[in-house]
Amino acid sequence: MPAAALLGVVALLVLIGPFAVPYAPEAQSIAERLRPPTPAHPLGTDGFGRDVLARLLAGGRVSLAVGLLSMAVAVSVGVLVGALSGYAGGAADAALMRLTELVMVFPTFFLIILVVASFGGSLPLLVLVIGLTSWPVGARILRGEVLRTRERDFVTAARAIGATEARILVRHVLVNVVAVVIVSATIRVGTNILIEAGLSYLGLGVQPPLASWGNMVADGARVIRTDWWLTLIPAVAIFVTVLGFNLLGEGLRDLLDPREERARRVPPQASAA
Amino acid sequence: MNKEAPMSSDRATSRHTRRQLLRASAALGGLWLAGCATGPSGGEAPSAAKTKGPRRGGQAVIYVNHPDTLNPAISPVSTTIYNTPFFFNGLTRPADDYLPLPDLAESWTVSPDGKTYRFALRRDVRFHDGAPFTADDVKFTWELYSHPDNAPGRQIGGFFSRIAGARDFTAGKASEIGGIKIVDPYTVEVTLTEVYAPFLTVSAGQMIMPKHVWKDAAVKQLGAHPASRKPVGTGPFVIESWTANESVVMRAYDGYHGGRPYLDRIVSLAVADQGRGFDLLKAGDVDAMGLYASVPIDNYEELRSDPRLEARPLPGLANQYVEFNFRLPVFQDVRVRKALSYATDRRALRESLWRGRATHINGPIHPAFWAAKADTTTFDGDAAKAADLFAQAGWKRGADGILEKDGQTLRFKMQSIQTGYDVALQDQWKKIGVDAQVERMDFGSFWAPLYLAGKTDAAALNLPFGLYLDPDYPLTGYFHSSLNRNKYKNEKVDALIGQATATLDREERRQRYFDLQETLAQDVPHLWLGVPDEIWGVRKGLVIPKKPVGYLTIRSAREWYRDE
Amino acid sequence: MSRYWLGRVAQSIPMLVAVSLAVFVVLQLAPGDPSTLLADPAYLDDRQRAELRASLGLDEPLPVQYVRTMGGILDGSLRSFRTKEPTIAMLGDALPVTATVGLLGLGVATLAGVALGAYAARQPGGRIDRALSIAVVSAISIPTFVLSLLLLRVFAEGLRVLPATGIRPIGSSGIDPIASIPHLVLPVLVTAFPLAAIIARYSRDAVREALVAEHVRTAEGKGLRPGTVQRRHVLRNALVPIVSVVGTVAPLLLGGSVIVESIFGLPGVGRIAVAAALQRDFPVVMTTTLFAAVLVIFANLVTDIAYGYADPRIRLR
Repeated sequence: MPAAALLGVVALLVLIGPFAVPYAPEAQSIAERLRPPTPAHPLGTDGFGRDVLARLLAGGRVSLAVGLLSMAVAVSVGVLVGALSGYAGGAADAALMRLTELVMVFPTFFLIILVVASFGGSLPLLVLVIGLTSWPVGARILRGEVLRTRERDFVTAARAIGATEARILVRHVLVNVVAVVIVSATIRVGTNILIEAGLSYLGLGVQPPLASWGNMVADGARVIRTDWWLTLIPAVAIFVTVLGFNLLGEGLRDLLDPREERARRVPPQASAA
Repeated sequence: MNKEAPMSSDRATSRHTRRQLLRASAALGGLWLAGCATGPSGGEAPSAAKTKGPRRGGQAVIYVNHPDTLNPAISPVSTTIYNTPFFFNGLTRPADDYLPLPDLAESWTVSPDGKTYRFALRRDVRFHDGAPFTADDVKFTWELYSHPDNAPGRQIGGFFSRIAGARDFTAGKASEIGGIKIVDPYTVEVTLTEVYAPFLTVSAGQMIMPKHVWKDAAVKQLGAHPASRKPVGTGPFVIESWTANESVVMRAYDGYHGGRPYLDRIVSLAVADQGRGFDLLKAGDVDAMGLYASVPIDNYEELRSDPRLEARPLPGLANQYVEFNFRLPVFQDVRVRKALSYATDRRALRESLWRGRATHINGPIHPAFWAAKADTTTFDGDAAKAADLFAQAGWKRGADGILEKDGQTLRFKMQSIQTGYDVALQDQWKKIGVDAQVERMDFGSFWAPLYLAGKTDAAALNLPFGLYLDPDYPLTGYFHSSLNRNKYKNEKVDALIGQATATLDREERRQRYFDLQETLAQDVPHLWLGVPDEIWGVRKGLVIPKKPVGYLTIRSAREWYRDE
Repeated sequence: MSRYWLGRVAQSIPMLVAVSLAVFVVLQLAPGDPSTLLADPAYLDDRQRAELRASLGLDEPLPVQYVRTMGGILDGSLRSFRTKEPTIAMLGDALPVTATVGLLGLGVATLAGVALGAYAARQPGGRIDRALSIAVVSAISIPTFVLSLLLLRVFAEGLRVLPATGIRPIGSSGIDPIASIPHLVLPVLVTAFPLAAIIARYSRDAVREALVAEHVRTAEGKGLRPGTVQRRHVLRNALVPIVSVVGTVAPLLLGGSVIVESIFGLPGVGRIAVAAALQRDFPVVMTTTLFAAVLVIFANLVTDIAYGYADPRIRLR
């Protein structure tokens, strides 16, 4: 799949790249500010004389880490809540669904801004806040799938032959909905990278001197007329990576869940950013 | 273009006369008349004699700052200084050299003991709503600043605390400030409890508000009063509209006592995404930006090379410096502080970080002030001397290259509040074996929880010491042992701070301040790095007189004109 | 039917209380003291700071502060710490800007999205269909701020055909729709862009599904002309999923407004929310966040109602 290959390249660059670049991403060489690309600095230097390539790779680590980890938080919470809710039913289901609705009603971007502005833009906080505000969609999908799967013949059959509730939940229901989870989670990574980039662009996300693609665009945009590549490079990096995750999500859906009508069960997740 | 013209007369005439008068007064030790004949409408008016003089009409869009309120009585100094001068006047206004010029007061006299001031007020001044300005407004406004219920106004209220009876009034123990006497509708007499040199420039320069508008307002709710958003003042401009987060629109006040402004309108724009400010200047949406919206240093070349724009670097308002907390034993050793100073390469910061657009300072007094000493001893850029001093103080390099003494490593936190130099400094210090761990914070989580509580190690700051029209203002708070937050104590410093305001002779004050700056330079309680320029970008066609700093530039708005 | 809607509205009240409590708690836990933002960094002593805090009502017990805040939003007695304007008035000033951009954006997105989607659905797997699916994925992968900067660069600073900032000509005030049109073009486009992509995707699927539905085939079998079939049967059936997706994306508008309003200098709700959050202007943060929650709840309600029109069975449930 081309998308997987694309992301593979991005991941490889971001993981190994920093070791191959002779500059630390935060190292300033103020004598060499805003230099165009040269052999020593293949992507030039920024306003503090920092190597743009080094920052791009380090920033990629940050952006990917935030995207992946916040997705992990969202999926964990979403799966837990969705599965519990769908399986338990009754009062527990009602309570969990109220909670889900509450979080859904919460204006995500506003909440993130509020929290980040109050407590500062540390990485763990960003991951938590983005993760904890983006789980309800997944939880709802899960719950729906659990409800649907529960009624299917093989689950009833399993129950009939005396399998325990938990066993059924894990063995059959979750396994059966794993495709939906994977597809949703993949697209979520891209969405969360966009949210992080948007926050960092506004100065509310990853704080300098730590690089992220979002704050690199913000820094670069100040000199866009003279040193346009400082904006273009991180912007393309965001686009390519998010595109990669979106395409991968689509590809996975076709692969794992080919039936047409299922396509719509993963609702839109365009980010606010 | 004739950019020099508007200020030339000011420079040539009034400054000299005033200085001579000052000297004379020092010699006589007595009465002097500072108000002389140069009213703002007379010698101050831009000369129209040159080739193409200023003409009336037109509009300017500026990007400098967006106000929270236009009520001077509840604003901190930093906001009154650039938002309210469009709409209000004080009894005096600062000249380019910070001596007081007459404004609402046409002249004044000082008693021989230096404690009583008698102001003769202009009789031709009307507020924007047509009501005449009188001595009642002066007493009312100064009491409003000092009012017990006016908590947000405490800072400016402090400028009046030396008036006899003011402290009792603020404490709620008196119904008026006895030291402010209305002699007749156009004469005010003020008695101070002590000689206070900044009084004429700073205190008497505070904006006067109309008593008839404010007299029934609840002092606790001043901000909610409609006139806080639609100011009624005496100033050169009248508010037309103010849309939050968008713009303040003001138009010329035809009846201005200093002469109607040349421009018909000034629009002060709010820009949400600060990085976009310069884009708007380039695109032609903004005619001038500066002050708190200085053109970023990275855009300086672009600004300079654009023939449609004029680049005007002025010394910025902010001192860039590091404060050491004397609660940490390591910083109590002057050798360590000196060594850190030697380990700092200020020239590198100026040349590279600030691209040559910064002024060297080594002291707390802003370089634009008459009291600034440019040549204080600076322990600067000498790694060998730094190493020597650390060795003398008993610090040796450990295995990891960090200095050690008695099992302690030379490692401390450096809280950084919106500074660009923190990492550069960290790099410079690392070379000599000092590990400063930069913690970038926002002002809110730094100021009360850490700084005021004395919990910082070293604080990398960027504060507008140049803002207060007189060098005295920040000194007490930052260096006097009774108030500074770092437990810094030097008796000579304490004494000099007091002595410098206890004489009206500027030459004598200057000597005290020079002495103070050298004492501080030897003691290194703060590590001063420089004052980066505040870069104004002005679109050709708008003529703005050259002034020594940004907030005096803003105050010259009456003299701005269109030339195209 | 009205009882159903009343029930729906009633359900949202505890939700609002929960949201407001959550915001209140976050603000209480936040470090930093708003009183320091009102004074100069020079020096206020501790007593003076205490006075300032008291003047902001920050020294009252928390439950009192909470109740006062909530009541104050509605009766206008809750004022911004900084500008002292009633927060509800600030919201009232900002809302038309955000609503105009948002609704126009949503309108443009819906028109463009449905048209594109319906067009692509005519030939599933065809060239147009494939191009659309690539365009959709690309469009939702572009960060809003990058798109905004790009458009500003080209149309405002390069070609100079559109203004670079503001919702109306600089220096004017009040509402003048004609004068505001050029100012709206780029923000509306940027707002509509990702939404159009999503709506296109779902419209395509919905139209396609409707096309293969039995009664459409029957209609075709009856010999109705294809155009009539599309209008009368297909689009009508496709409407339900389309309405639902429009309802789902509506709340995203508000989040998007934060970035769009910052970059384009629009004095809208997103803009005051960010400014207030950065300045610890608690009353304004509280008001805008609650408003956003109300709006999302409201959008959900509207979606339900629209749903009811598109598919009468829902109301009967």
